[in-house]
Amino acid sequence: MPGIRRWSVLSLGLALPTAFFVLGPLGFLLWMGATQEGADFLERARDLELLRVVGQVALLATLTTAWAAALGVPLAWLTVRTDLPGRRLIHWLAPLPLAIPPYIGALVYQILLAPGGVLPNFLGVTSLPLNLYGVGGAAWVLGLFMSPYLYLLVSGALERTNPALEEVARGAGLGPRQVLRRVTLPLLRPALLAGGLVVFLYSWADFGVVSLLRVRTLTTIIYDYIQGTADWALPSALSILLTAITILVLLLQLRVLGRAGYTQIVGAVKPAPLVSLGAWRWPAFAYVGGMVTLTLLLPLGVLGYQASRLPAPAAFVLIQWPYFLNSLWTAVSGASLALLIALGVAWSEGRGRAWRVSGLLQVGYAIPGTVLGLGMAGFLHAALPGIYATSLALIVTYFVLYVTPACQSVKAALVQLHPSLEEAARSLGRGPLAAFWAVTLPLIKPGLLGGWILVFVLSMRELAATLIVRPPGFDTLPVRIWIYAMDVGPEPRAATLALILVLTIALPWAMMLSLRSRGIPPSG
Amino acid sequence: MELLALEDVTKRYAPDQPPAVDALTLTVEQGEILALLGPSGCGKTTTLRLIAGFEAPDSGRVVIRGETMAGGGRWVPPEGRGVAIVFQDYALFPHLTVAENVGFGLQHLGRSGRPERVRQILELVGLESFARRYPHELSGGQQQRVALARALAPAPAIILLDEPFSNLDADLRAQMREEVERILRDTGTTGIFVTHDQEEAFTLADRVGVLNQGRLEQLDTPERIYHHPATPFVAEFVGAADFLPGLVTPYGIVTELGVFANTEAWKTGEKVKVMLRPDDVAFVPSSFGDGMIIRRDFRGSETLYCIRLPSGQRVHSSQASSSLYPNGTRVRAEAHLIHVVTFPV
Repeated sequence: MPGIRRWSVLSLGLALPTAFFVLGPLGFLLWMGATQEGADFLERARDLELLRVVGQVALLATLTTAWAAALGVPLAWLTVRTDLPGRRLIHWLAPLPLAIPPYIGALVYQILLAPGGVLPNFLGVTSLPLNLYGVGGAAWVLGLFMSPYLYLLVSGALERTNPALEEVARGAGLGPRQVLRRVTLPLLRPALLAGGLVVFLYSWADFGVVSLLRVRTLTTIIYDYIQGTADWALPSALSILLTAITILVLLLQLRVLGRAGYTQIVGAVKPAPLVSLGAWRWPAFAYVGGMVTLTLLLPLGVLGYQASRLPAPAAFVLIQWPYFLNSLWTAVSGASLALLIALGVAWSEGRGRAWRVSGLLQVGYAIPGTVLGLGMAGFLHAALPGIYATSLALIVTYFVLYVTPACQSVKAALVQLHPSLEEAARSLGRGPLAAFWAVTLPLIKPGLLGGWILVFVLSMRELAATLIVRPPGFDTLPVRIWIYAMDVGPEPRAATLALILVLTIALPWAMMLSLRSRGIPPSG
Repeated sequence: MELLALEDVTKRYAPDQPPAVDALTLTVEQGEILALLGPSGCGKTTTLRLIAGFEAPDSGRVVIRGETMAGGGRWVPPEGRGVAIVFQDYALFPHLTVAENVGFGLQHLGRSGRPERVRQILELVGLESFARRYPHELSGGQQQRVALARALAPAPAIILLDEPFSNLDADLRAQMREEVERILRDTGTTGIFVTHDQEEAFTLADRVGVLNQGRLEQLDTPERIYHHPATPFVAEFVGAADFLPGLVTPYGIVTELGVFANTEAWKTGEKVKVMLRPDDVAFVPSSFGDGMIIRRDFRGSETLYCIRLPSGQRVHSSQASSSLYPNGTRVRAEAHLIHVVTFPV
């Protein structure tokens, strides 16, 4: 129909500038990496013990994923499917730790365990026999604070599982344990894989935790290079290596999942009957309580304790105020830009025949922050020197990194709207834009708000790319926290700023979690 | 006056698939109620969407009030057609109250004129007291009425109804059917509705168009459709039918169940099949009969027997629900046809 062409123009108008900023940084890295001579690279790789580093990061990512799964998956099953005491409260609390960025988790454990920290002081020793600095410590922290991702995906899948499938298995003569092993868990495989992948790739490309806990990884090597030299070739080549392995893992996941990428269709499914825990109720409750303590109460308590030791807090907060504002307005701008583009992309793609821009956007989401930061800085320097090293560069970086989750939120909201709603508005005399304004927009508002909050939170806590892209002297809260913690250690100033950051993020994040549970009633 | 005309309209969704609507031509008069009847996937909903302007025809023209809406290089978007639609899922705006839903298409009236018209229309559908409710606070039948009220409010030239009663319970369906017909007749609104339920089409419509695989098989009054189906497809779709082989002779069409008038002037010697409705076939039990009851279906208001004739041909006979003959009963069957309908073999 004659409307189609307009959708194509709209989506093309979105696609071109977006592609410019998504593909530009990657292109720059490829181009720079290509100037790196092969023989020279091999020699420098040997100096850097690159193979050992890659092996170490792979170990870190694997340990983190296993640890996060061991924490998050039983928690999901216990809250969704059993008569665990206080399960509704737990269901709301469990995703909350995502408001604590892992590098702040690392800071918390530094405050707690490092030589001269809270626990050694309490015990009256100089240092503890367990070593926080290293792969083990980093995996502990990353797994702890990434486990809510697995919780969210697995509990969502458990809620959507059609209980009839399990009842059929019971009818076929399987006992409860066999049903769990042969039906429930296999049905969770896509969610487990997706959640595991998020955790694996995050820890694989993490910068904050590993730099604070002194683990050498590709990201820290890249960062050290940028700081120390004006050499672009080697960090670019390393970035390409890092990205290539990331993409390899993604492809592997597609291969493993293959046609088993089944999703369970949400229908008018009645909730599954709860498993009675019986005598296991209280051990289970203790486990869940322990998790909430470790991921939520302990970090907040430790940060609060450390912050309370700050001399002259009012003066300190006054001095740090500009950094808070820097964080706030770049995150707000980044989130708004991402949402605007996401809305255009999702709406035009919902029309069916437009250009598939969202696939392109996903590239930005798959690139590690350190790599994107490096690519973006170099690309802007070469292509748009007017933006390079301005706060605008930071906003564009947040947009490229996080437009995909925004897009997913908007799409999820649009999918729930039957096209007949907009058509009804059209047949009642409204043009396409008027129909969108009067019907679609009010109905997807919760989804839009959720997407905006998500990008805001992610931008607010972003560290790795910000460190590289930010204009000189333009520090954000995460940058300040990281610099204090790196330079002076886990002392009260870092803890105070970390507490401010966590509370700033937690408020909108908690709001989004309650939005998620409150849907718009479907029509009809 | 001719209000709507579809001229040779064809719509194809994918180049490698048969057209969803195939060279469809029909006209609808002012004030008429037309039913489009057919099995799922026959193109009836696509036809509605072509009229409403949600789809554009690949060829052919859509003409409303003599003005071309689509085809021949012209395109009028849905909002410019004056065609209202009631969707199968009602598509009520969940964020607006009943009154706001009904007033949605009344922007031209302005703030002062709108409430009066909304009140008037809500009164028509009997929902005055529900004006401030939200759609999810209404029952299915009430939602249906709101959808109808919303479509009627701007006084559209045509109102389209897509499977309007399919989401309602059986008894509510009959009640809503009557009510919708009353409202359309009272307001003189031209209505086109789509259904796969022949009973619904027959009771509500002035004329019924039977669609099959995108083609219009027959467009006629309900009585003509039932008694004089144009094709075997129509004959079977609008009610049970058996087809009895017959031979054309100078005395009529000779079949196993008797000789019928050659009303359609077939040539002597031609082979045809004669349509039998279950209510055309009677039988008496007889130990000398050459037919046999092979199946009995109790349907509540009637009992349907399946009788095997000596040739192996099966015919169905509808009898009173009190009738009770066991399987295996030998019977003598006969057919009494008021309208003899024949098709080529």
